[in-house]
Amino acid sequence: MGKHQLGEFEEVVMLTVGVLHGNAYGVSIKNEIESRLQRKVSVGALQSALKRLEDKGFLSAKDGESSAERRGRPKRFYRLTAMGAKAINDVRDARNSLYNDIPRVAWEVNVSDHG
Amino acid sequence: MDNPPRLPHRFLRWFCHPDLLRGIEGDLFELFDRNVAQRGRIRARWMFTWDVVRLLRPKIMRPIGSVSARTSWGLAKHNSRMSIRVLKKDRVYTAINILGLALGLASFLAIYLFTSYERSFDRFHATGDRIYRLTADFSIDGMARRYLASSPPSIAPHMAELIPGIEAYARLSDYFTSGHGDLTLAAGTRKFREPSVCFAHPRFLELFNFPLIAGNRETCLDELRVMALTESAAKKYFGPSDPMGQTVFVDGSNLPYTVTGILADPPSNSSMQFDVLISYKTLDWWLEGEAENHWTNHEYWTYFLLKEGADPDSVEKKINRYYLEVRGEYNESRNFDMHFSLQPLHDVHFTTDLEWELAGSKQVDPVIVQVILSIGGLILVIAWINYLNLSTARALRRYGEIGIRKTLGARKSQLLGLFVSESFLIHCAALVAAGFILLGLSSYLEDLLGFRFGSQWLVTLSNGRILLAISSAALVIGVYPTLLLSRMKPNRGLGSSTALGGKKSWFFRGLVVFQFTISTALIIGSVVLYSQLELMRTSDTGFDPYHKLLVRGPNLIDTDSDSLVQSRHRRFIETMSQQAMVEGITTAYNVPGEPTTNPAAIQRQRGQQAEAQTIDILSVGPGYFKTLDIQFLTGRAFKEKSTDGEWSVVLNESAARLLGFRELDSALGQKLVLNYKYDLVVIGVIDDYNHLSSKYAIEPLLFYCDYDYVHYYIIDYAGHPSEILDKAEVAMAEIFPRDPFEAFFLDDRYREQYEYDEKLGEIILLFSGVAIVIACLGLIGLASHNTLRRVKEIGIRKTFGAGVPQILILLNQETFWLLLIANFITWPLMYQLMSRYLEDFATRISLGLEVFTLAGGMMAIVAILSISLITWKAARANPVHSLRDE
Repeated sequence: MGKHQLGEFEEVVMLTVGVLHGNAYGVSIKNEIESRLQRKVSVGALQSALKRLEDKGFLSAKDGESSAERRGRPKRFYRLTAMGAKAINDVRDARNSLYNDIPRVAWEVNVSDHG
Repeated sequence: MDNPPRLPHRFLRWFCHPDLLRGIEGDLFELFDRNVAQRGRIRARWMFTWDVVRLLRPKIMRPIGSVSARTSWGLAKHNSRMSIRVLKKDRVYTAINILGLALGLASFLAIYLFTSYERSFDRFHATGDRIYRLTADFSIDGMARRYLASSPPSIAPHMAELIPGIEAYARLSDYFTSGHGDLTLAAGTRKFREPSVCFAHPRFLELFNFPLIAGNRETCLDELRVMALTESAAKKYFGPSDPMGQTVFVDGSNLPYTVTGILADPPSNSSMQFDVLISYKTLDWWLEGEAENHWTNHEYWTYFLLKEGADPDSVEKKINRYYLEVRGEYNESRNFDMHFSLQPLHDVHFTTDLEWELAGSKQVDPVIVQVILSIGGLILVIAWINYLNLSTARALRRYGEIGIRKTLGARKSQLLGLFVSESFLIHCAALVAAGFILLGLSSYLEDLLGFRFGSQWLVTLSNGRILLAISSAALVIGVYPTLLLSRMKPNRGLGSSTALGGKKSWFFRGLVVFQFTISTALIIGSVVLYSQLELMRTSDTGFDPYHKLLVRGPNLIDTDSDSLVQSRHRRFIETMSQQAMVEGITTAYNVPGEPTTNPAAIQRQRGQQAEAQTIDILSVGPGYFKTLDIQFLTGRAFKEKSTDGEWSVVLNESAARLLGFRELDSALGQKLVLNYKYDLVVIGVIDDYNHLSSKYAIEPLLFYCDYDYVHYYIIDYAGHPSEILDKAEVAMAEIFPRDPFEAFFLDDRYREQYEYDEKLGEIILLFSGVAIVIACLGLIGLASHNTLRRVKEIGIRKTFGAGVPQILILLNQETFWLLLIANFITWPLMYQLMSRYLEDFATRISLGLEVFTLAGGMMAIVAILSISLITWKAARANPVHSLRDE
């Protein structure tokens, strides 16, 4: 994983920002995670993760147009930066290489254990 | 549309990082609206609040202590940076301000140290607030009342038994050292005359917390013939060896005294000063019980420790009541009236009008302390006025800068910060400078004001009240220019740098007049003090104090028989008379410069009904008048050999007049009655001479001749002082080998009386000097601002032909008028004040106009000279330079 340290929740947030490409802002990210992963996300946890990722340089933020449904407040849109994209890939590669190296026997043992 | 709850929203706005705020708010609003629709308003509000609470995370909060210019901290930083730049740019102004303020602060702080030292007297005793000294006043045979610091010894035990409010008592006596001569103490080969030996009651050291180095506080003064020495006395007698348990001999007696205690030297802020404490029992043994049981001899100091909550007034009343129960009848039969008072221990140092204070005790007039403190305060006020004047004048020149600040939206409070921070900076610098001034002058100031700075002086000064006073002054002085400037319109400020030039405020003129008034008042004060002092020093005393050596006579409390002492005494006089350089020798009980303390009732006719006058009696040797060159108006002096009757007396003129002799010659041969008993015959009347300083009126005096009793030898000599000193010492050592030699010169002794007034004069002179320097610094600063403002005007005037003198007059005339007004105010005030001061002096200068014109003239010359430093340059400047740019 090297220098690209990502927490589990951070990884989920980054992946979601990628998924919502171009439409990733606080509420949409929260909704997407909640509906896809069936888990509750608080505004506070989400915002602090976003800020942290922004500080690390994995996400960039830009205020959009303000809109009436948000009482004049703009949406703050997030995008993956190049470094962010690389970080997700690195994390994924590391995972995959670990996954691929699990010997077949392990799976069988696991199955029989549970069986 | 439903609104999210207000309080959590405001909370969010307060803590949220400004970059994130609007995005987060938008998200929360969006969620809120959705929640209202899906789950109802109340749930939605709850969820909003809960979300806000969960947003309270470090990443989301605004940074604390940001250096962003938008916060007030940033402004403070900016302000202090601006202040430093401004102060650096205008160095003269800054220097004048800091110097003036530092001088003012240093003077005030020095005086404050002095007054807190005076107030610390006798405060180190743990129960001191409950200790009272018994003072007495009495009158015998209808003579003038006398007020004593001391009281008879029987009072204390009697009252302590009867009055429940008294917890304990202690007595002290210096029976053999005050007015009776000294005690000579000897240990081994070392012997010294001890002027301050006290006899201390066993409980003395329990009531008073004089630090004890060795020995037992409760028991060390219990026994007969035991003593406690102070550390320095112990060193004097025993050097480095341990004094405890050692033996001391007192006054040549063969009975040993044991050292049972070592005391630290009494602190300088103790009104009781002593070198040796001998147990009270010893005194009682010497006096055969009189020290415990005597109702009239008042040579004892009595201290009562009252119980907590006891009312001193009621205790005092009871003391007087019980006293009369015991003594009333007896007193009435003797036409004697005595009354007692309880004086709080803490007042002892500030009471100057009691007779019979403990030898070496220091009393100070509280009025003088108050006057000196107010001088310190006034000097500080002058320094502050300076600063206010200067900073306002300069603030007016910063119109442009302020105008720009206001145009850019600076609020009043922000401008305030600018000036206040400048004021605080200057005050801090001045405080530090004042500290250094105090340190540098500490030994001089200690000498002048008569106290030690000690190691704690910084602690004394860093008390809350002083810091509060200084910082609130710094605040007020910073606020004033702001208020003045905030009234102005920015466009005026931007228009021209001299926009406010023509505006002259009566307020500032008033302040300048105030400064001049105080400075002139101080000058008048010092002129009056010094001329009065000079008058006293140079006025004819009526006797010749020069070339007179005073030698302390032998101690009379001696194992030698009286007749032996007398024959030796005659031998000493003969030996000295044979010296070529000795022109005359005589003896006296009491010499000029020492108060006479032996009043008696003198009548012209015997009988209780006949009128009696109070006249002080002095015992002198036969040659007293001739040796001191005192003139006889009529009659003659005592004869050299004792052929005069025992009761021949000489009067001074005042006494003769008091007794009603219109023609002085008619007094000769007249009979007088002393204390209703003894017959006297007048053989001569002398011209009045100032036995005491001419500060006091000449007292009526009556002299009688004592051939044998000698307290001082007075030797009239010609030649070098050290020569006569040597000769006298040799003769003393030969004839009175047991007595230490002690001598001084009459003129020095006599001059000591002026010390107090000399000190006072010096103090007032010093501080009036400081006040004038500060006021002139302010003038210079103000003049330079005013002149700068009028540079163009001067240029134009010169172009039209005005000469240097006209310009100088133009620039100096305002100061001149202000000075005149100040003098107008000062003169009558000081006339009142100084007349009251001079009332205390029997011989005094007349307060003529010349004193005032002298002081006013001095102030005017100094003031005009100092501003001329500035105006002269301006008046001489070539108009080309001032007019070339616009």
